[in-house]
Amino acid sequence: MLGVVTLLYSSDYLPGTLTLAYQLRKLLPKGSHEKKLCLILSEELVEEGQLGDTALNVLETLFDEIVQFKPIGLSDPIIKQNQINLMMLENRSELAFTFLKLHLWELTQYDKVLYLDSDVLPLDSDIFKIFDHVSSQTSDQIAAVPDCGWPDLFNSGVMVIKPNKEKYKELHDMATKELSIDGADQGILNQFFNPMCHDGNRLTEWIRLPFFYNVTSPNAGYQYSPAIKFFANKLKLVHFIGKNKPWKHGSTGGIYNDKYRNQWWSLYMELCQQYFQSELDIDIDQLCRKTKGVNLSSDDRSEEILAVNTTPSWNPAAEPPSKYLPAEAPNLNIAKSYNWESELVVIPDDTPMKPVKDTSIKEPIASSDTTIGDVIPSVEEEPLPHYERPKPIFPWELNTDYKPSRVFPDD
Amino acid sequence: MTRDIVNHLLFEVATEVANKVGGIYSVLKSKAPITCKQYGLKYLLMGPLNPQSVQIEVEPVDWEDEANFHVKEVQWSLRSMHNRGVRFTYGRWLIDGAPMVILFDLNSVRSYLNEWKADLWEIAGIPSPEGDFETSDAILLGYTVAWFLGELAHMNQTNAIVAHFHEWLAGVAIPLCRKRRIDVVTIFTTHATLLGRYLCAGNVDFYNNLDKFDVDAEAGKRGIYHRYCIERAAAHSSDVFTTVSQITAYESEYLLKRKPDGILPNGLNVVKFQAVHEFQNLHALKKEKINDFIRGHFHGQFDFDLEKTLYFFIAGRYEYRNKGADMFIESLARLNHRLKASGSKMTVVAFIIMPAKNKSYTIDELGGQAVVRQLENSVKDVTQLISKRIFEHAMRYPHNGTKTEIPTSLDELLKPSDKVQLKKRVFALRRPEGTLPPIVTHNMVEDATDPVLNQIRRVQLFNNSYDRVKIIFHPAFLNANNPILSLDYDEFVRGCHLGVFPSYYEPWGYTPAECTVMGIPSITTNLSGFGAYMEDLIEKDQAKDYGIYIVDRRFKNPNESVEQLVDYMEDFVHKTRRQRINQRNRTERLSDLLDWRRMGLEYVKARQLALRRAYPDEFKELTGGTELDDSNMDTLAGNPKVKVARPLSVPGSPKDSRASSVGAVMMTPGDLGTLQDANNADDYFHLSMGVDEDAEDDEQSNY
Repeated sequence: MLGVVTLLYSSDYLPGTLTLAYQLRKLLPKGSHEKKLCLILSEELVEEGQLGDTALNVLETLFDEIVQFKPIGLSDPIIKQNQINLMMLENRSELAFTFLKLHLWELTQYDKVLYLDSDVLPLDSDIFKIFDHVSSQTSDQIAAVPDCGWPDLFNSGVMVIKPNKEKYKELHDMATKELSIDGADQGILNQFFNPMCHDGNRLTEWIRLPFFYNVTSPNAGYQYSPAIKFFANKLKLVHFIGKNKPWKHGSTGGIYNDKYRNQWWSLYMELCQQYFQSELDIDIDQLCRKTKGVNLSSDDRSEEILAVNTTPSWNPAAEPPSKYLPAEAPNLNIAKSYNWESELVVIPDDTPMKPVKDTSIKEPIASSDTTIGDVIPSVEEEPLPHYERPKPIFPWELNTDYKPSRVFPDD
Repeated sequence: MTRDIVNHLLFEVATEVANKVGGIYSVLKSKAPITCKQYGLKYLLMGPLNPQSVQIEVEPVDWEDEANFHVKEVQWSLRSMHNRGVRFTYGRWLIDGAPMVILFDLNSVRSYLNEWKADLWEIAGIPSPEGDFETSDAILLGYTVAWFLGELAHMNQTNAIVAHFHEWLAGVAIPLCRKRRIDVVTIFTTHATLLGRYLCAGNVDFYNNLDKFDVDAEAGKRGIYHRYCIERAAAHSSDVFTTVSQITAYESEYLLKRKPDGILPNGLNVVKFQAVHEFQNLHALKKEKINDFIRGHFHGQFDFDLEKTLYFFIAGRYEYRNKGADMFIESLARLNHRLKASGSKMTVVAFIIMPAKNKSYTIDELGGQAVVRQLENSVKDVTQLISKRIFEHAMRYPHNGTKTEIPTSLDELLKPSDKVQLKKRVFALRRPEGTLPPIVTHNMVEDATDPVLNQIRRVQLFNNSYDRVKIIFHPAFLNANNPILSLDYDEFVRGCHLGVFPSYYEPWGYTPAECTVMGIPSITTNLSGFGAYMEDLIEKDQAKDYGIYIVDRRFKNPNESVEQLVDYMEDFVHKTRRQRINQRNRTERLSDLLDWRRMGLEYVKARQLALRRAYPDEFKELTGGTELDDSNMDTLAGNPKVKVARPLSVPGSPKDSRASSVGAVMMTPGDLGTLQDANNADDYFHLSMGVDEDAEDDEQSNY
């Protein structure tokens, strides 16, 4: 039996995990029991209630098996040792938790395990052809794709392994004793399996897989854009590396390769509609709101929307407009009649009645010793409309006998 | 003591009277003929005196001569003010209609400034900071106008007085009229709200948050609170409050907190040509001028057929997002892709005419135009020589050894020196290896950060030979005196095929309206005042037959709007020449809808409403005691509201027997070719305008 496994160690990555599982479900042949979807879940997330029942239920529906492991605490020697290296790799301390990955070797219920990071998007069912490359794999071997930053190392976001308790032990030992070259799992795994790193001191091997099983995006390489065009039909999986995860920056966050981010988003929206329509998990709800600008639940959102949405989200110099932006003026009701109706509704004009901090006004002319807020009577104090003739300033106002012939609405 | 509301006096007050700054000038100027026709000398315009423009625009008239006044109290009021030191120019504005203007010299009343500022604070609570000269002038103008109106209302108690104010800059007088009980009727028109302008300039998601803005705080943040107060006070204390479009009305409702009573759309003074095909000829003529420019601009890469080239353009102030330049460029990139994919032979040259900071023309641009002119001249010279040689040869035959009647070899006509000359010119056309025809005609000051250029860089529309869509960015106003693209704006518009104005914020939108009256189809949006107006006026889905394409920017998201825009442009590109001519014909017919003779009726209604509110009893008496409702308001103004329907199909003319025999081929009004047909064309439109040669007389009798 083959396992397709991913890992969830922080609720931040929940959208990724859900979307990945949802897509894998779509791609797995129906009624086949050859492959199982399995999730390694950090126990902490469940215990501290970070996930919420809805999300947990959905995860249970999407995955065949959920295995819980204790996360390694920050005080663990394995983490401490690597803290310095981790700091060097920007502030991504959350990567420490990917040491959880080592537990993959404990999943001996599976002959082989295809491991996928939660920030990947498999594009079609050809992704499972990855097993064809490793038909005679031993537990000393790891199958993975070269890392685009240093092609002699492999990227640990997509890999096929053969679980083995012995190997788990060895790996765990090594992680405790040696410093990971990048402070996280990718370094340790390379040090363990990659002959480039251990100089043949071990028997372990790396089976090099074609790049299109793990196309990392964004990619600054000069070959990247022509190559991605050339290989467009062969791409099997896109891996959104870096901090700019599709779900982190709304549907328009990335300036990179929008096609795949868009595809991710349409899957995610589909999933939200299917599973989270009635009862929304708070995190998902917020995400949806921010990205779609639509009412998913009607609570005190107005303030947040104002804070979130006042700037347009399309930056024309960086990208084409996303498909998932909200409409620009759906509520603009211009069918309203402005039809010369004779009824005049007198609206007391309270404009200056509100104290306002105007940085441009130092002091009002009429009252140089007070601030505007002080001098203005509040609306309640002044009865409206009660007309009193102001003190005259124009010559003709001295003629007090004169009565205007017209009607004034505030008389 | 009552006033005659039928023979009322009309004053219009604006800062742009005889002083061109922006759009209000065009409104007043183009509207003057119909207003003067209706009011004659009972119409006066008032504004601040601008010493420079007054010399060009106004013919002074002696205000001390009573003969120069139709209403003598106007002269008395002026004299009374003059006696107290107020200076002004009284004269005739030298435009069509020649209305009388009173331009107050604000410097002569500047000594009152502090007193008036304090008064404004006291009676209306409007603060006015030191150092904002625009606001100070607005206060001076407001008080001077109120002074004048007060004098006049005291001296003349026989006529009702209507005062119509445009924009907040002229609006200070309105709260004064109300608070000081000046016996005049006031109308206030905003052509865009201050806050709306500021908010949109700052790139906010405007319409989706319109109801959520804390207006006072937003105004305060932008340092325009006092100006905003003036605008809001004017809106609230006017008898009738209006804006230029439904969109702006909606905006005013939320930002100024008063629902406008009606819409006063901006019209145009439509110049009708004697011959209907005249504007088509003009199109061909002006297009040839643009062709000349294109040959120079694309020298060395001139591999497309001008017969199969369409000119699109966007023009306006450099408000990148508000004017929709972002959508224009995005959609051009997609159009380019579609045209390439479909193997189209058409080429689109898209002009972006938006003045931005620049350092004059690029050498490349000027050089390009020069080498083409050189070639042209050389060809001309050589041609002359050739004709001379043919003539000589023919004359000589059969003498001097001439064996043929006409020259038979090319060498005989084209001497080696000519060939060298021509080849030299042709070589000069070449571009340096690897360079492309330029995008910008000028050297930009902020080249690296310019939003238009950055977007063009991203979508990679670099005028490559294989691109079906080429872009030319002209970051300056057009002028017939420019060394390149020497055309005035209206000539340029006439020479183009399609105007594209996918605006986000556009209270009215004169640019597409101008296209329409020149018979040039245009694309607009339902977020522009013009687009919404046309959508309201023309049956759904028929607008594009009339060359008014309206992109939905309200219910669609930006991506969908861009797609719709691309669809429209693609649709236009695939039209045949004949279809384009027909469409232009129909577009031009719409110009009647935009003529002041029609648009002006809304002004009539606004004045009626104002008078009705101020003098309800007199008004009732005048209309025979019956209460008026909206429908007979319309009839009173002579304006039955009718929608423009589908271009009525009529059978082909007898001559075109094939067409009628096919049956399915029907003709539309745009297909009409003959003068006679065109003269009857009004019927096809069902416009039933009700306003014609003597319509103005009808209007007057309504009072």
